[in-house]
Amino acid sequence: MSATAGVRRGGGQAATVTAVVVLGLWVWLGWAMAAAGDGPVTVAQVGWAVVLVGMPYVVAAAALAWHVVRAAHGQDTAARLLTLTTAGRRGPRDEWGAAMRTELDSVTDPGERRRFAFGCAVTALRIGWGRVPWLVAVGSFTGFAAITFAASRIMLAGERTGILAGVLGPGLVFFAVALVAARSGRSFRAGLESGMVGVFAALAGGLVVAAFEAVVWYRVAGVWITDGDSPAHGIAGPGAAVSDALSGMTFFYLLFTVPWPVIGAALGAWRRGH
Amino acid sequence: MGYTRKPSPQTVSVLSTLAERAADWSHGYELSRTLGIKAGTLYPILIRLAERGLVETAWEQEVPSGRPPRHLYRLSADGAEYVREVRRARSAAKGTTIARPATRTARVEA
Repeated sequence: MSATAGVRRGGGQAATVTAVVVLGLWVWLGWAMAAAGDGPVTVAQVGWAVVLVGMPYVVAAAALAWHVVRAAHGQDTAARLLTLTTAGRRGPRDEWGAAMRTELDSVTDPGERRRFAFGCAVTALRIGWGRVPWLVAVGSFTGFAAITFAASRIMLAGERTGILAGVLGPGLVFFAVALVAARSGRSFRAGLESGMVGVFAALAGGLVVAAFEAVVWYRVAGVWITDGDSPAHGIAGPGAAVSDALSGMTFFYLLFTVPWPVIGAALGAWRRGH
Repeated sequence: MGYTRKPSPQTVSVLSTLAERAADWSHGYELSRTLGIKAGTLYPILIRLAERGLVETAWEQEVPSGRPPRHLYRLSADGAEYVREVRRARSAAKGTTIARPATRTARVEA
Protein backbone atom coordinates (compact mmCIF):
# COMPACT_ATOMS: atom_id res chain seq x y z
CA MET A 1 0.00 0.00 0.00
CA SER A 2 1.40 3.45 -0.88
CA ALA A 3 1.97 6.08 1.84
CA THR A 4 -0.84 8.21 0.38
CA ALA A 5 -3.26 5.31 0.38
CA GLY A 6 -2.23 4.49 3.96
CA VAL A 7 -2.85 8.06 5.11
CA ARG A 8 -6.19 8.09 3.28
CA ARG A 9 -7.20 4.80 4.89
CA GLY A 10 -6.07 6.07 8.31
CA GLY A 11 -8.18 9.19 7.80
CA GLY A 12 -11.20 7.10 6.89
CA GLN A 13 -10.80 4.88 9.94
CA ALA A 14 -10.36 7.87 12.26
CA ALA A 15 -13.46 9.53 10.78
CA THR A 16 -15.53 6.37 11.24
CA VAL A 17 -14.42 5.76 14.83
CA THR A 18 -14.94 9.43 15.73
CA ALA A 19 -18.40 9.46 14.15
CA VAL A 20 -19.45 6.34 16.09
CA VAL A 21 -18.13 7.73 19.40
CA VAL A 22 -19.77 11.15 18.94
CA LEU A 23 -23.03 9.54 17.82
CA GLY A 24 -22.97 7.37 20.95
CA LEU A 25 -22.40 10.45 23.10
CA TRP A 26 -25.33 12.24 21.48
CA VAL A 27 -27.64 9.24 21.96
CA TRP A 28 -26.71 9.28 25.64
CA LEU A 29 -27.16 13.07 25.82
CA GLY A 30 -30.49 12.84 23.95
CA TRP A 31 -31.71 10.22 26.40
CA ALA A 32 -30.54 12.35 29.36
CA MET A 33 -32.33 15.43 27.96
CA ALA A 34 -35.52 13.47 27.33
CA ALA A 35 -35.33 11.93 30.81
CA ALA A 36 -35.08 15.41 32.33
CA GLY A 37 -38.56 16.24 31.01
CA ASP A 38 -41.96 15.08 32.27
CA GLY A 39 -43.20 11.59 31.40
CA PRO A 40 -41.42 8.49 30.12
CA VAL A 41 -38.57 8.66 27.61
CA THR A 42 -39.56 7.70 24.08
CA VAL A 43 -37.41 6.67 21.14
CA ALA A 44 -38.89 9.54 19.14
CA GLN A 45 -37.75 12.11 21.74
CA VAL A 46 -34.20 10.76 21.77
CA GLY A 47 -34.20 10.47 17.99
CA TRP A 48 -35.21 14.06 17.46
CA ALA A 49 -32.56 15.34 19.87
CA VAL A 50 -29.90 13.29 18.08
CA VAL A 51 -31.01 14.20 14.57
CA LEU A 52 -31.64 17.91 15.13
CA VAL A 53 -28.75 18.76 17.42
CA GLY A 54 -26.34 15.83 17.39
CA MET A 55 -25.97 14.95 13.72
CA PRO A 56 -24.08 18.13 12.74
CA TYR A 57 -21.63 17.30 15.54
CA VAL A 58 -21.23 13.74 14.25
CA VAL A 59 -20.49 14.96 10.72
CA ALA A 60 -18.20 17.78 11.92
CA ALA A 61 -16.22 15.53 14.26
CA ALA A 62 -15.76 12.93 11.54
CA ALA A 63 -14.60 15.58 9.05
CA LEU A 64 -12.21 17.06 11.60
CA ALA A 65 -10.74 13.65 12.44
CA TRP A 66 -10.32 12.84 8.75
CA HIS A 67 -8.45 16.10 8.08
CA VAL A 68 -6.32 15.88 11.24
CA VAL A 69 -5.16 12.32 10.51
CA ARG A 70 -4.45 13.13 6.87
CA ALA A 71 -2.49 16.27 7.82
CA ALA A 72 -0.52 14.72 10.71
CA HIS A 73 1.90 12.33 9.07
CA GLY A 74 5.56 11.56 9.67
CA GLN A 75 7.98 9.16 11.28
CA ASP A 76 7.25 10.09 14.92
CA THR A 77 5.11 12.28 17.17
CA ALA A 78 7.37 15.29 16.59
CA ALA A 79 7.03 15.07 12.82
CA ARG A 80 3.27 14.47 13.01
CA LEU A 81 2.81 17.46 15.33
CA LEU A 82 4.74 19.72 12.99
CA THR A 83 3.06 18.54 9.80
CA LEU A 84 -0.33 19.01 11.44
CA THR A 85 0.33 22.53 12.68
CA THR A 86 1.93 23.68 9.42
CA ALA A 87 -0.64 22.07 7.11
CA GLY A 88 -2.94 24.05 4.86
CA ARG A 89 -0.93 27.28 4.79
CA ARG A 90 -0.45 29.21 1.59
CA GLY A 91 2.21 31.61 0.33
CA PRO A 92 5.08 32.70 2.59
CA ARG A 93 3.55 31.01 5.62
CA ASP A 94 3.67 27.68 3.80
CA GLU A 95 7.37 28.24 3.04
CA TRP A 96 8.11 28.84 6.73
CA GLY A 97 6.21 25.67 7.57
CA ALA A 98 8.34 23.76 5.06
CA ALA A 99 11.48 25.38 6.52
CA MET A 100 10.64 24.09 9.99
CA ARG A 101 9.68 20.63 8.74
CA THR A 102 12.90 20.15 6.77
CA GLU A 103 14.93 21.46 9.71
CA LEU A 104 13.31 18.84 11.94
CA ASP A 105 14.46 16.15 9.51
CA SER A 106 18.07 16.98 10.38
CA VAL A 107 17.51 16.58 14.14
CA THR A 108 18.08 13.01 15.27
CA ASP A 109 17.84 12.93 19.08
CA PRO A 110 14.21 12.04 20.01
CA GLY A 111 14.05 14.50 22.94
CA GLU A 112 15.52 17.30 20.84
CA ARG A 113 13.09 16.49 18.05
CA ARG A 114 10.14 16.76 20.42
CA ARG A 115 11.36 20.07 21.87
CA PHE A 116 12.20 21.52 18.48
CA ALA A 117 8.90 20.38 16.96
CA PHE A 118 6.91 21.80 19.87
CA GLY A 119 8.60 25.20 19.53
CA CYS A 120 8.02 25.19 15.79
CA ALA A 121 4.39 24.12 16.25
CA VAL A 122 3.80 27.08 18.58
CA THR A 123 5.35 29.33 15.93
CA ALA A 124 3.21 27.80 13.19
CA LEU A 125 0.07 28.52 15.20
CA ARG A 126 1.24 32.06 15.91
CA ILE A 127 2.16 32.91 12.32
CA GLY A 128 -0.37 35.45 11.13
CA TRP A 129 -3.66 34.17 9.77
CA GLY A 130 -3.66 36.62 6.91
CA ARG A 131 -6.28 39.29 6.36
CA VAL A 132 -9.35 37.17 5.67
CA PRO A 133 -10.05 35.88 9.21
CA TRP A 134 -9.58 39.37 10.64
CA LEU A 135 -12.02 40.83 8.13
CA VAL A 136 -14.45 38.04 8.99
CA ALA A 137 -13.98 38.80 12.70
CA VAL A 138 -14.67 42.52 12.35
CA GLY A 139 -17.61 41.93 10.01
CA SER A 140 -19.09 39.23 12.23
CA PHE A 141 -18.76 41.28 15.41
CA THR A 142 -20.37 44.40 14.00
CA GLY A 143 -22.87 42.53 11.83
CA PHE A 144 -24.19 40.33 14.61
CA ALA A 145 -24.22 43.21 17.08
CA ALA A 146 -26.42 45.16 14.65
CA ILE A 147 -28.66 42.14 13.90
CA THR A 148 -29.08 41.42 17.63
CA PHE A 149 -30.04 45.04 18.29
CA ALA A 150 -32.51 45.15 15.41
CA ALA A 151 -34.03 41.76 16.32
CA SER A 152 -34.33 42.84 19.95
CA ARG A 153 -36.16 46.07 19.16
CA ILE A 154 -38.44 44.52 16.51
CA MET A 155 -39.39 41.62 18.80
CA LEU A 156 -39.86 43.87 21.81
CA ALA A 157 -42.32 45.97 19.81
CA GLY A 158 -44.00 42.85 18.42
CA GLU A 159 -44.71 39.38 19.78
CA ARG A 160 -41.68 39.16 22.10
CA THR A 161 -40.70 35.66 21.06
CA GLY A 162 -37.15 36.27 22.28
CA ILE A 163 -33.91 36.53 20.36
CA LEU A 164 -33.16 32.81 20.62
CA ALA A 165 -35.79 32.35 17.93
CA GLY A 166 -33.04 33.10 15.42
CA VAL A 167 -30.42 30.81 16.94
CA LEU A 168 -30.18 28.57 13.86
CA GLY A 169 -29.22 31.45 11.55
CA PRO A 170 -25.56 31.97 12.57
CA GLY A 171 -24.75 28.31 11.93
CA LEU A 172 -25.82 28.66 8.31
CA VAL A 173 -23.96 31.96 7.93
CA PHE A 174 -20.69 30.52 9.18
CA PHE A 175 -21.18 27.32 7.22
CA ALA A 176 -21.19 29.54 4.12
CA VAL A 177 -18.27 31.67 5.35
CA ALA A 178 -16.12 28.59 6.00
CA LEU A 179 -17.10 26.99 2.70
CA VAL A 180 -16.15 30.08 0.69
CA ALA A 181 -12.93 30.62 2.68
CA ALA A 182 -11.89 26.98 2.22
CA ARG A 183 -12.60 27.14 -1.50
CA SER A 184 -10.80 30.44 -2.05
CA GLY A 185 -7.95 29.60 0.34
CA ARG A 186 -7.73 26.10 -1.14
CA SER A 187 -7.52 24.45 2.27
CA PHE A 188 -9.64 23.07 5.10
CA ARG A 189 -7.58 25.11 7.53
CA ALA A 190 -8.36 28.40 5.77
CA GLY A 191 -12.08 27.66 6.01
CA LEU A 192 -11.92 26.49 9.60
CA GLU A 193 -9.95 29.55 10.75
CA SER A 194 -12.28 32.03 9.09
CA GLY A 195 -15.44 30.19 10.12
CA MET A 196 -14.44 29.71 13.75
CA VAL A 197 -13.11 33.25 14.13
CA GLY A 198 -16.45 34.45 12.76
CA VAL A 199 -18.41 32.26 15.19
CA PHE A 200 -16.69 33.68 18.27
CA ALA A 201 -16.54 37.27 17.01
CA ALA A 202 -20.28 37.16 16.26
CA LEU A 203 -20.99 35.74 19.69
CA ALA A 204 -19.00 38.57 21.29
CA GLY A 205 -20.87 41.18 19.23
CA GLY A 206 -24.24 39.62 20.06
CA LEU A 207 -23.48 39.35 23.77
CA VAL A 208 -22.42 42.99 24.10
CA VAL A 209 -25.75 44.13 22.66
CA ALA A 210 -27.82 41.46 24.42
CA ALA A 211 -26.45 42.50 27.82
CA PHE A 212 -27.82 46.03 27.34
CA GLU A 213 -31.00 44.93 25.60
CA ALA A 214 -31.80 42.41 28.37
CA VAL A 215 -32.14 45.36 30.76
CA VAL A 216 -34.44 47.14 28.27
CA TRP A 217 -36.69 44.04 28.01
CA TYR A 218 -36.73 43.73 31.80
CA ARG A 219 -37.68 47.38 32.31
CA VAL A 220 -40.23 47.58 29.47
CA ALA A 221 -41.89 44.15 29.69
CA GLY A 222 -40.45 42.34 32.73
CA VAL A 223 -39.44 39.31 30.61
CA TRP A 224 -36.26 37.51 29.60
CA ILE A 225 -34.78 38.69 26.30
CA THR A 226 -33.88 35.12 25.33
CA ASP A 227 -37.39 33.63 25.11
CA GLY A 228 -39.82 36.39 26.14
CA ASP A 229 -40.91 34.47 29.26
CA SER A 230 -40.71 35.49 32.90
CA PRO A 231 -40.43 33.36 36.04
CA ALA A 232 -43.55 32.92 38.20
CA HIS A 233 -42.41 35.52 40.72
CA GLY A 234 -40.87 37.89 38.18
CA ILE A 235 -37.26 38.61 37.31
CA ALA A 236 -35.17 39.48 40.39
CA GLY A 237 -33.56 42.53 38.80
CA PRO A 238 -31.52 43.82 35.87
CA GLY A 239 -28.54 41.75 36.95
CA ALA A 240 -30.56 38.55 36.67
CA ALA A 241 -31.86 39.64 33.26
CA VAL A 242 -28.33 40.24 31.98
CA SER A 243 -27.05 36.99 33.46
CA ASP A 244 -29.84 34.99 31.79
CA ALA A 245 -29.20 36.69 28.46
CA LEU A 246 -25.46 36.02 28.53
CA SER A 247 -25.65 32.40 29.69
CA GLY A 248 -28.65 31.49 27.51
CA MET A 249 -27.28 33.10 24.38
CA THR A 250 -23.81 31.63 24.84
CA PHE A 251 -25.07 28.10 25.46
CA PHE A 252 -27.67 27.86 22.70
CA TYR A 253 -25.64 29.86 20.17
CA LEU A 254 -22.60 27.63 20.56
CA LEU A 255 -24.73 24.46 20.68
CA PHE A 256 -26.35 25.19 17.33
CA THR A 257 -23.45 26.99 15.60
CA VAL A 258 -20.09 25.33 16.39
CA PRO A 259 -20.25 22.30 14.04
CA TRP A 260 -21.30 24.24 10.94
CA PRO A 261 -18.00 26.02 10.13
CA VAL A 262 -16.24 22.64 10.33
CA ILE A 263 -18.72 21.11 7.88
CA GLY A 264 -18.49 24.15 5.60
CA ALA A 265 -14.68 24.06 5.62
CA ALA A 266 -14.65 20.33 4.89
CA LEU A 267 -17.11 20.74 2.04
CA GLY A 268 -15.21 23.72 0.60
CA ALA A 269 -11.88 21.88 0.78
CA TRP A 270 -13.42 18.72 -0.68
CA ARG A 271 -14.96 20.60 -3.58
CA ARG A 272 -11.48 21.99 -4.33
CA GLY A 273 -9.82 18.61 -3.86
CA HIS A 274 -7.88 19.58 -0.71
CA MET B 1 14.41 50.84 7.42
CA GLY B 2 10.98 50.25 8.86
CA TYR B 3 12.21 48.72 12.11
CA THR B 4 11.55 51.46 14.61
CA ARG B 5 10.75 49.36 17.69
CA LYS B 6 13.63 48.59 20.02
CA PRO B 7 14.72 45.01 19.26
CA SER B 8 14.44 42.36 21.97
CA PRO B 9 17.66 40.87 23.43
CA GLN B 10 16.94 37.64 21.52
CA THR B 11 16.54 39.54 18.26
CA VAL B 12 19.83 41.33 18.89
CA SER B 13 21.45 37.93 19.58
CA VAL B 14 20.22 36.55 16.26
CA LEU B 15 21.30 39.67 14.37
CA SER B 16 24.71 39.74 16.03
CA THR B 17 25.37 36.08 15.27
CA LEU B 18 24.33 36.48 11.64
CA ALA B 19 26.47 39.63 11.41
CA GLU B 20 29.51 37.73 12.64
CA ARG B 21 28.96 35.11 9.97
CA ALA B 22 28.67 37.80 7.28
CA ALA B 23 28.05 36.05 3.95
CA ASP B 24 27.91 32.53 5.42
CA TRP B 25 24.48 30.92 5.60
CA SER B 26 23.02 29.60 8.87
CA HIS B 27 20.12 27.26 9.46
CA GLY B 28 17.44 27.29 12.13
CA TYR B 29 18.29 24.39 14.41
CA GLU B 30 21.99 25.26 14.51
CA LEU B 31 21.16 28.91 15.31
CA SER B 32 18.79 27.76 18.01
CA ARG B 33 21.48 25.61 19.64
CA THR B 34 24.24 28.20 19.26
CA LEU B 35 22.19 30.97 20.83
CA GLY B 36 20.34 28.83 23.36
CA ILE B 37 17.04 30.15 22.01
CA LYS B 38 14.08 27.81 21.66
CA ALA B 39 12.60 27.23 18.22
CA GLY B 40 9.35 28.86 19.35
CA THR B 41 11.27 32.10 19.94
CA LEU B 42 13.79 31.87 17.11
CA TYR B 43 11.44 31.29 14.18
CA PRO B 44 9.11 34.22 14.89
CA ILE B 45 12.25 36.41 15.05
CA LEU B 46 13.57 35.04 11.74
CA ILE B 47 10.14 35.48 10.13
CA ARG B 48 9.91 39.11 11.29
CA LEU B 49 13.46 39.90 10.21
CA ALA B 50 12.90 38.29 6.80
CA GLU B 51 9.62 40.16 6.32
CA ARG B 52 11.43 43.41 7.06
CA GLY B 53 14.19 42.60 4.61
CA LEU B 54 16.87 42.42 7.28
CA VAL B 55 17.52 38.72 6.71
CA GLU B 56 17.85 36.90 3.39
CA THR B 57 16.51 33.39 3.06
CA ALA B 58 17.35 30.62 0.61
CA TRP B 59 16.96 26.90 0.23
CA GLU B 60 20.08 24.74 0.46
CA GLN B 61 21.41 23.86 -3.00
CA GLU B 62 23.94 21.11 -2.27
CA VAL B 63 22.18 18.58 -0.11
CA PRO B 64 23.68 15.36 1.23
CA SER B 65 21.57 12.36 0.35
CA GLY B 66 19.12 11.24 2.97
CA ARG B 67 17.67 14.56 3.99
CA PRO B 68 15.72 17.34 2.32
CA PRO B 69 17.23 20.79 1.62
CA ARG B 70 17.20 23.14 4.59
CA HIS B 71 16.10 26.75 4.75
CA LEU B 72 19.09 29.05 5.20
CA TYR B 73 19.47 32.55 6.63
CA ARG B 74 21.99 35.35 6.46
CA LEU B 75 21.99 39.09 7.06
CA SER B 76 21.00 41.28 4.11
CA ALA B 77 22.75 44.58 3.34
CA ASP B 78 19.91 46.38 5.14
CA GLY B 79 20.29 43.97 8.03
CA ALA B 80 24.02 44.69 8.29
CA GLU B 81 23.29 48.42 8.30
CA TYR B 82 20.63 47.89 10.94
CA VAL B 83 23.06 45.97 13.17
CA ARG B 84 25.53 48.87 12.87
CA GLU B 85 22.74 51.28 13.87
CA VAL B 86 21.81 49.15 16.87
CA ARG B 87 25.43 48.95 17.95
CA ARG B 88 25.88 52.72 17.55
CA ALA B 89 22.71 53.39 19.53
CA ARG B 90 23.77 51.01 22.27
CA SER B 91 27.27 52.42 22.51
CA ALA B 92 25.85 55.92 22.66
CA ALA B 93 23.53 54.86 25.47
CA LYS B 94 26.03 52.83 27.45
CA GLY B 95 29.41 54.32 26.63
CA THR B 96 31.95 52.83 24.32
CA THR B 97 31.61 49.15 25.33
CA ILE B 98 28.59 47.28 24.12
CA ALA B 99 27.31 44.62 26.46
CA ARG B 100 25.81 41.99 24.22
CA PRO B 101 22.95 39.82 25.46
CA ALA B 102 24.07 36.62 27.10
CA THR B 103 23.91 33.55 24.92
CA ARG B 104 25.08 30.00 25.49
CA THR B 105 28.12 30.16 23.27
CA ALA B 106 28.27 33.65 21.82
CA ARG B 107 29.19 36.63 23.94
CA VAL B 108 31.04 39.08 21.74
CA GLU B 109 32.36 42.56 22.38
CA ALA B 110 32.09 45.15 19.61
